[in-house]
Amino acid sequence: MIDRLTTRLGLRLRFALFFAALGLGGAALIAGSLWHGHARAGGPADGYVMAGAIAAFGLLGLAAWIGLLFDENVAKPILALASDLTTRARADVDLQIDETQARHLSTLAPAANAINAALAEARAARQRAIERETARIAREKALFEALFRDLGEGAVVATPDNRVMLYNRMAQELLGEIGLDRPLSAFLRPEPVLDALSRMQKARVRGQISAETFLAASADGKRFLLGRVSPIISDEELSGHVLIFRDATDDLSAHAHQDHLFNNLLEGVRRPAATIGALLDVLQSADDLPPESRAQFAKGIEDEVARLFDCLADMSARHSAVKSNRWPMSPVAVAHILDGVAAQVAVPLTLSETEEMLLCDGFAVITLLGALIGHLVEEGTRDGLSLSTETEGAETRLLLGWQGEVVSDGQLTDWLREPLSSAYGDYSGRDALSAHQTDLWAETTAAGHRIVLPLAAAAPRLRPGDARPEFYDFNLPSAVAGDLAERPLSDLSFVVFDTETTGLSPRGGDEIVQIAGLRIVNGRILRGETFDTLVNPGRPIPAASTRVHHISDEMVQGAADIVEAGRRFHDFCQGAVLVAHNAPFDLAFLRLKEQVIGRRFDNPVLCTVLMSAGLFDHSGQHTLDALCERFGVSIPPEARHTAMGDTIATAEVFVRMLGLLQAKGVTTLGGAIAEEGRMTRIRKAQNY
Amino acid sequence: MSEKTILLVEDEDNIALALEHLIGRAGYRLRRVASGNAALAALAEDHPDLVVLDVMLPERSGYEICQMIRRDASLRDIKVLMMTAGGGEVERRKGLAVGADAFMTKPFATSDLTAQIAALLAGDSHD
Repeated sequence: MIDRLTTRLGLRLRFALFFAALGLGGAALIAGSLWHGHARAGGPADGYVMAGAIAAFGLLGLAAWIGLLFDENVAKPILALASDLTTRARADVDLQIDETQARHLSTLAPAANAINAALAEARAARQRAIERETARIAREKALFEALFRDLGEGAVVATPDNRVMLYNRMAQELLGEIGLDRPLSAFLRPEPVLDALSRMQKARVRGQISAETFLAASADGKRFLLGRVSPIISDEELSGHVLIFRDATDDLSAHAHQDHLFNNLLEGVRRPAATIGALLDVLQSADDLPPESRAQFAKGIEDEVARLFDCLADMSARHSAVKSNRWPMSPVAVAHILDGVAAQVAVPLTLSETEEMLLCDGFAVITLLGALIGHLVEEGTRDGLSLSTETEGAETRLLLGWQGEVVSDGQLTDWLREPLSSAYGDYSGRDALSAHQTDLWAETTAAGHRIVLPLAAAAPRLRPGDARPEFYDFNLPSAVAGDLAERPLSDLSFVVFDTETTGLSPRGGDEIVQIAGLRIVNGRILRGETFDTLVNPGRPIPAASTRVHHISDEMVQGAADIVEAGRRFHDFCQGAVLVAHNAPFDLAFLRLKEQVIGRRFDNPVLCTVLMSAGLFDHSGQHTLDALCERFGVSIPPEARHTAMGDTIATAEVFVRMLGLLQAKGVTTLGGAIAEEGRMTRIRKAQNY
Repeated sequence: MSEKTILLVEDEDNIALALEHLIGRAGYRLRRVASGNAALAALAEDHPDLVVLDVMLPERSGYEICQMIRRDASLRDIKVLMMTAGGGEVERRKGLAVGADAFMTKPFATSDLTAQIAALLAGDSHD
């Protein structure tokens, strides 16, 4: 009861009531006492009344005055102090509490300030700890990102239900259009991996946490991947698995080819050899053969010899086409090799700038060139040494040039006979050349003499800038079956897209000339997972349209038609909600083509025009430019009206509108679509 | 027209026997040696119009002999036809790089060899 009273009435009001009660109670007491005295002593009542009135009014006045003083010096300061303390408890305010306002409250204000100071100190300490931790996490994150991104093998981390949480660049190279939150089976024939997973699971039940190997084909069947899968266990729960794999296609096919070649060679040599042997035996043993038979046998030998030659020529051509690398080769920058050689030799060496890459054993090549240079200069008859490269097709030649005495092939042969390095045992320069399936020679040009070493060129190294900006997300929403409409917006993945067309009338024969799409997973725009393709419309593009999107007839000449582009786009959109600015327009083009594409675009759709109409003033502008301005999204002018530029702008606007919808209490896809429905009439008013 | 002379450098006796017979029959004067050093001696003694040169030889490789022919001003005009049983593309390129005019991989049809010799010597007479 008291509690309820105290909470219901403020402190100041309670003080006022207290003093009022004191005053009124005192007045009543005075009145009672005087009445009692008059009853006992008698006499004129006027005196009593007069005295009572003066005493009562005096008392009431005193109570009121002290009450006001209390209000001013106790109640108000207490309230002010309480409010200061509350503010400091709830928010980061490090200001001192003003002690003068509570000077009549004795040590309460200094005590409050002491608490305030302790609180501020604790906060600062916590802040420092958080900053330290954040910095540490950022360092570890950077390390981890570099490690995974540049791992020479493909790495994918998947959820227990086999959706991609992380992939690195090599995985992207090997598996193609891999993306976050996509099912692994879209990139890999999953059966061998599932088998390895079940073996891993069984081992885990037995208490062994170990990796299991698998050999699986990529989804398109073009590559074979050999790899290992290992579980990620946290809190005794399986929270996913890591797949590390490499391309085994070449190995497998090289082995298969070589076996095949060897068998063909044996067969191709055996048959004519047997026939020649038999025919020769006949010719030698039978002296009495008539001349025509003899000629016949000789002709037979001639034919068989021709077959033998053909077989050998065919086999050697096929053998040189089979690449077999028993010695480990890796892509090495030529610049690295040149620097390595320069560091190894004691003579001045002119190096040319180069961006080339070689597929070789870098150490062996550096050591070999270093040894050659050592021999070239050992007699002091050669100088002006230089190292450069020459590329022709799949071959890059290392050129070691010099001035002075020539080198004979005999000298080179002797030099190559020496062991290459103590690190390689007896392995000689000649062995290294054989392992690289190459040779070297000296030749003389107008500029001087040089040794030529042809090696296989490698694909240019991936530059750091090529990395996809978002390549992992460890907080993927769990895959929930059931009604998509009931799922939280934050759990959905979206494909924001835009099309450029030959005109504005899908039913009047206009066609798509470009499709661009961008994925949003877990609220993040995945700028690395884009879809951007020109489409051959199969009809001329009107000049007026070319002026808008700058796509001309020549540009789409070699492009895919809508059947192929549409299929690829359909794959890209799998499992996602489609989002576009004025989606009905873009979808009309796609849906009219569903028949020829052979796929249905039945994904849920959100339209940023309708969303904007629902969120903001109905009568306002809902153009993409207006929305960008509203949200402070800038589109570079040259990107405007390109499919990808508009897609990026739409995506930026869309994620911001998702935030606003959330704040409005719209959290599910169904809710967002209903919100749009309310606005459908706006669509009719808008002029597109 | 004087008879063209050919030096055959081949260490394998059986194929040398056959080639000597075939090249002689085609109307060339032929001398055969069986090693790298003997080839150098023969070149110094007698200046042939063409050398049929095997790559794998005792003492000195065919590549080296070809290089020496190309570097010696008095021998530079000699045509060189190299042949090998090695058969790799790199060997062919190396042979041409060190100065061979033609390169043949064993086995070859003997008619191809004589045709190649005729073509090289015909080209020579046109210069």
